[in-house]
Amino acid sequence: MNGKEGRLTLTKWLGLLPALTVLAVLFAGALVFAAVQSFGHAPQYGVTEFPTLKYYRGVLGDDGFWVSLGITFYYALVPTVLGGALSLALALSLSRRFRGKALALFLYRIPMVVPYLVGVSLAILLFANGGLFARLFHALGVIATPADFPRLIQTSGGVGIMMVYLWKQVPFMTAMLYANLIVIGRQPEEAATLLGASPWQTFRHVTLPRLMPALVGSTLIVFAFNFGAFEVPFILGAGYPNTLTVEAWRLFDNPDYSQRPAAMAIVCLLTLISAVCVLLYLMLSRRFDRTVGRAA
Amino acid sequence: MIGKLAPWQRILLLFFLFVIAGPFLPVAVASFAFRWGWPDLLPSIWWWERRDAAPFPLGWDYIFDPVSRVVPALGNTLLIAGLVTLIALALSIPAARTLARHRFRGRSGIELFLTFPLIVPEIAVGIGMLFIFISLGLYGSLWAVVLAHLVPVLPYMIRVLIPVYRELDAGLLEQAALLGAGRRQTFFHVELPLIAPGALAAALFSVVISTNIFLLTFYMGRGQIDTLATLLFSKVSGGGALDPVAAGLTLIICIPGFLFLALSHRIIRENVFSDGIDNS
Amino acid sequence: MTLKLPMMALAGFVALGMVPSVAAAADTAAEQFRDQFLNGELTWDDVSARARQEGEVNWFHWGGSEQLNSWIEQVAAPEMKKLGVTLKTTRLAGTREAVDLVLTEKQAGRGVGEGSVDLIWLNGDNFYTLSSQDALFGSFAEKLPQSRNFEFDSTDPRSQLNLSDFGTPTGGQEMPWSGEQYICYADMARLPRQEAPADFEELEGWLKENPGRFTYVKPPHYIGNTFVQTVLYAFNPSGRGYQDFQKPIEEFTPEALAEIMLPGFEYLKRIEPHLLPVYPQNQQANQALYNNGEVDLACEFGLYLVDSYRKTGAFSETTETLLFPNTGMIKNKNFLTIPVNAPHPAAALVFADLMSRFDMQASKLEKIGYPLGIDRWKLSKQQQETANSVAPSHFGVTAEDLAAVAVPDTNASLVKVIERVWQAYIERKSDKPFPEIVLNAMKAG
Repeated sequence: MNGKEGRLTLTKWLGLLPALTVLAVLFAGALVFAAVQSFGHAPQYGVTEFPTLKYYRGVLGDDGFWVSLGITFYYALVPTVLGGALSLALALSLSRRFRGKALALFLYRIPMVVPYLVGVSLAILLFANGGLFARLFHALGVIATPADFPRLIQTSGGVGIMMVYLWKQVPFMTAMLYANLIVIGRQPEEAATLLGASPWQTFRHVTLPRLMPALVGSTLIVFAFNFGAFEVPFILGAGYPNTLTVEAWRLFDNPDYSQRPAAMAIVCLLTLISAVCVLLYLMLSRRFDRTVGRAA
Repeated sequence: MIGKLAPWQRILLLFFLFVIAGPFLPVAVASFAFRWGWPDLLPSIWWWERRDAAPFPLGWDYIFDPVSRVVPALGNTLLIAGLVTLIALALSIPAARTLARHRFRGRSGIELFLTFPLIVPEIAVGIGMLFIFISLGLYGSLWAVVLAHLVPVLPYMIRVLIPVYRELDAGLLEQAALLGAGRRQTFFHVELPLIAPGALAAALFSVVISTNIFLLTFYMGRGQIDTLATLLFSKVSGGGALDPVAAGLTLIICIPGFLFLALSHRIIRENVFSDGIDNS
Repeated sequence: MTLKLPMMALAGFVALGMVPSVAAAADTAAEQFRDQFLNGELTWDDVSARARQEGEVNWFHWGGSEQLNSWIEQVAAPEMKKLGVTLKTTRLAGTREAVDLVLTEKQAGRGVGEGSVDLIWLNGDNFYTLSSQDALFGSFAEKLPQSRNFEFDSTDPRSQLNLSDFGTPTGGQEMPWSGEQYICYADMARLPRQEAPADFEELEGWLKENPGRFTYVKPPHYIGNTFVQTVLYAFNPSGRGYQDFQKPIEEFTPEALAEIMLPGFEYLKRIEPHLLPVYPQNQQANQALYNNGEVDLACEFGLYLVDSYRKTGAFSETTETLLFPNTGMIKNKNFLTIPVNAPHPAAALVFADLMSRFDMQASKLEKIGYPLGIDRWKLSKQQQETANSVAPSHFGVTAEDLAAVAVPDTNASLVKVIERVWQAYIERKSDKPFPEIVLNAMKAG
């Protein structure tokens, strides 16, 4: 069913054209606008220095940029890795038979279908220093004042931010893995068990390789999203240092409009870095696939 | 033993479900508080104790009062989601069909292009797109928001519809053609009913994605188009305590998603998720 | 080569972006109205008649307060309706959004009568931005009938609050709406009044005994900037306190500015180890710290804040206002301005006039605790009595106490330098010599 070979005729082009045009104009066009402005063409702000590298030099020369880049990576990577591992365990558990499965399948998807802002609300209520957890520990006599509770939100430690990411994304990754488990079916595993493989061996040599594409795909989406996320670090992060997206927002929001090309430079760099990371990851996972393929 | 839950898996699952659904309970409690001071585990003063004495509507009264504009924001949210979904369906169905049925040079290039919007940060697209809309004079309008939402929705929808078209039995369409059905007839009477379940699933996802977008709505609407997401953002962006109105809004903004889950339970097969959805 | 087509579309768009916007001709009737009004050729009846014709007015305001939103819908909108104009409001998360909209439309060539914003509630650098971009309607304030409620006579020093907005001359291009003062509040159950610090030296001593029980909002948020300004006034080595900070940046050499700011910033650095190790990002976050009992006192703008928040349940009923610091508590006004491309200029004038009317001002004071923007001494005896009787309590201090220590805000051009210096010297702990930090901050502007 993979379609007919051949050249694309005009009528078939017509099918693709509207969708591609919209994306080319809105998406690619937006990026080109951002890039052009970052090189100094923003007459509406009185900036007409095109082409100049001044804004990139300014951004890259600021120590704050590198600190922010580090923070951006940190907030993006930790939940991706932790979430990936957790989702794997959960998807495997969910694929078993148990009582109340229908309810579990309903409940676990809730975070997937609500905005990140809901997660932010929950984090504020639970993890603030005067939040419910702090009160619980106070009631248990563990802490005396809210100041004794560790700072989880509005610090650059980012625990609150990463909690929201995990809450939102573990269900998403679990859903992707679980769906693939269903598509794959249970026969390969059963066959391996019948042949005397231990549960660990079955997982390592049968289940995991089959889940790899889904695992790579879902962690990739999650990483790329976290890298470019805005609302969560903006509200739950520190005033300084914070992620590059928040820095870009602040520069763009600055009353001094001549700062805006610098904001553009940051978002362009952000896009570039994100794309490079995704490509690197894809290359690595392909290589890993081949190694695993040979070993199996 | 395959098929049964190991004890650690049972504990993990229970913990997971508790972490996911549990926090909604305190949010509901917070929405009924008047004052919830440290270190009280339950509201110090409940909403109904002060409700009548307040000079202006409090908590849920405020949310349901026309002053809060929550209802128009809900209307805007659904209108935008509906328009986005209709336009996206109209654009995605022919695109997915071409991509699924035909092999041609450059197809992988197009597929790669379709994954870019997943990788590029929303703020990069948002800031850049602002200038397109300023040039077009659409800045701050509902249509600007709708068009902006197409960027994350379109690539996703096309990706969901491609496998739907791949599974479609091409033989059936050929038979219809052999039996003398015209192109239009074949499309409306054979093809469309066959892809309807897949398209419906894609449409539901699209509604959820659109409902949840904040940054693009905020930039393109420029304060003039209120949606549930922008209302909630202005309530929580201060990052202070979660006040009763913010808690109430948090619950209301979940409604479209909950409806989606209830509906999708009946409509959507599990394997649709195998392609992944990412809603920002 | 399947990407060719999208690439072409894209190139087209780039070309579009390169074309500078073409200035369109303005709405001539609106332009004529503006010129006639500003030249004093129209009676107020002419303005009111045109306002009724226009039929609506679009007011853009910060929409984060539920009480304010309710007051506008319940009191302001019906009153405006009586004048034949429908009040439409846009609630903003930040006033910058409205300023952006006006400037964007102006860039796009939408001139007098053709924009979408009729009025903005603002002050400080938002007004400065519009004024420096020539994006204001004109000098209207003194031509409104209700201008009699304000001191606009520049020979009276009390007129400064109306004629100067963060050091930027208002030139009658904005109408005062509310007057605010930077206050601090504390919970008397935790920090009894007699133990509370009264000035910055006492604060330092108190902090050493009660480490971590105070913090301030982080600059560049204006609530944080204002705290820093208050400190700078108190430690100004010239002995002239706030007066030096009224001058625009052009009148300072970097050395001179560094000299008057250094003792204040040294103080901020000195107390930092004793503060709660968090600078909240805005007043809401600061209030949360206060309500959780993490800090015992907190500062922000709000003469009647304590009253409002006791009513909504946000503050405990033992919260009171403090007279801190008694070396000077910054007072300023916020304004209503009309942008150059207001689509309903006559209705905007009528609305600005209505908002300056005594009954509206008194209602706003009584119902939501937004202080009078009009000047008390310009009111009739009876009005003064009414104003006194409807005013909510400050809780613990009197209006006279607060008025006695009021000092003006800092010049907007210096505020930017102050926030940059704070970021470098306090937040990023720059080890450069202080004059160099100040020099860099001045250059960045």
